[in-house]
Amino acid sequence: MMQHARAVLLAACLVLLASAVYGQSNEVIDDILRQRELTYAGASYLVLTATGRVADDVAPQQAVRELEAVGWGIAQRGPSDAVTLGDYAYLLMQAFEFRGGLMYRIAPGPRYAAREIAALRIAEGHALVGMRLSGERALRLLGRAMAYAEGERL
Amino acid sequence: MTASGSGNSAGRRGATGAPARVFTRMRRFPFVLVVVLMTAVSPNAVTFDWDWGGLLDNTTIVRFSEMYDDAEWTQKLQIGLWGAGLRRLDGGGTIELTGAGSYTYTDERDYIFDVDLLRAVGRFPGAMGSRSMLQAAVGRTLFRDPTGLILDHTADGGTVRISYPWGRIRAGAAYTGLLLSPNSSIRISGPDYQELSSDDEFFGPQRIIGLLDVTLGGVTLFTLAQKDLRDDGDTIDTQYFGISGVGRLGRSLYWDNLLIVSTGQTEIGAAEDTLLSFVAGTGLRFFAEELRFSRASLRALYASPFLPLDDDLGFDINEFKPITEPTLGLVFNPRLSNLIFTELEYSLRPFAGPQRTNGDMVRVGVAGRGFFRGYTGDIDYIDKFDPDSDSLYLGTELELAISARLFSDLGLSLRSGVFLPGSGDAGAFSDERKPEWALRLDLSSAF
Repeated sequence: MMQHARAVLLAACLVLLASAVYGQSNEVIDDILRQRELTYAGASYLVLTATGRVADDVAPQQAVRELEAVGWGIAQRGPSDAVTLGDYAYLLMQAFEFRGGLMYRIAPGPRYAAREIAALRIAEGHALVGMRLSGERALRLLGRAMAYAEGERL
Repeated sequence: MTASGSGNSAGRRGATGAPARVFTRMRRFPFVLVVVLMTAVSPNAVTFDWDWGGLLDNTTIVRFSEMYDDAEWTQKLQIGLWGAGLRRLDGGGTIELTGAGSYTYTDERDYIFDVDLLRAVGRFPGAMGSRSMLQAAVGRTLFRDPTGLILDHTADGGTVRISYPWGRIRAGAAYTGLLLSPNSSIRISGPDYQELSSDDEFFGPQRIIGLLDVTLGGVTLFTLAQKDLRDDGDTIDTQYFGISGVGRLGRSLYWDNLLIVSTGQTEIGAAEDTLLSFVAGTGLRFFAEELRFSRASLRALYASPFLPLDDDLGFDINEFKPITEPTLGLVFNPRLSNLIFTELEYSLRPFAGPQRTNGDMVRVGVAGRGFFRGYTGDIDYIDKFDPDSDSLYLGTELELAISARLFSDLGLSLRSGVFLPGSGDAGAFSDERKPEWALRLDLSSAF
């Protein structure tokens, strides 16, 4: 029963993700999928294109500038620098406007964003704030965040 | 007689030997602790990803009854901190270090600091062949038998588990003598329980525990054993041999069964004896997401009493004695020994709809529990039996509960219950035993 439900959920996430990234540059997505450690540029590109804030044909470096323009930039981080799970979770929380728990509302930031995506089951498995994040996992998190934003139960 | 003698023994030990014993046991500082610390401070530690956090939990219970002069309030406040480190290995494995400590305030003690977890866990996929998963844990970690009825407690030791798609095997060993006495629920013998109420005991009972279980499909075969390492009082060693199984009867309906046979050896003064006891249980579980996340369960347990069958069978059946006591009720919580226990529970999320909403966070439940003794005769730790009653019926407990997760890091739970004792012609208690009520409020938060 649970496995069936998970399979349906995963399929729904993939459909959502596929529709969201439809038209994106395959090269950019392929590059992100190959990243053992997600870069700042890759993270910026994913959250901004998935939430429709930039077109999917924008260059990742341009996505970083857009991210900083909306005030979500990560200080002292270059486009090719790696981001942590906490950094990426904080971007997801802001981009999808998730309200977050009590501590996130008091002290919004990577720490409680990481806790939040774990509590919401957007993140499966370990979700330590400082852990490194592969591009593949980042895409999976994005798909589940989109499903959650659509009102799905994870 | 047993309790009295062992109590004196415990008292003497507590009065004269506690500091020395603490020192002796501290010298036996677990090797694992050293390994964990060496790992954490080694150059490789920089390759770990680290995180930390905290918790703040409070439990308030009020109990009232005609039997009490006043309502009885108890409170437990716990503040804890944890730290965790994770290292990913080539091949998909991980090494995880976890440490957690807490400060607890209760009405009985102003404070107690304790180490709740201190463990290293390694997961190594493919280490024992393709599609295998080897998991090894060492340190202070949770030890639980497959049913949770015999052992469910943290202890210092290690486990190894090998999983395949077709089954898994687990083996482990633990030492319980470094658990602080107020936080140790490792209680089997009379002296164990007497030590629990003694301020002289710094550490809990010194026992060594071994476990081994094999799961194939829905069937688990398991064995546990515990040995009392104290040699200056009454001792009891026990072994458990069990089988548990779960079968699927429908889309959302499961049938659980278990049988545990226990053997044991006691030394009370110069007298030695052997024990044979058992517990059997069955139950149904139902879960339906489409019915507002309904959960229902029905279960029954029979824990053997003392049955004098020596003349008929050549041996007696003894009272079942688990290593830790499972929680069976809210108001009335007898030991799993000389007991027939039945329970019917149902809960749902009444405000849940087809889409996720804030109403998902609320769950409401009801439960009814029936308690019977397995054989006539008093149960020494329960008051107000009718000595002339042959009835097995102890009473019925009814519970209403509501829980809500207000935020992802803040949860509330309110449980209320009443225990209606069986007295008069229908029950085992005398008329002096009156109904008891309890109200329990739990608040849990994380930071």
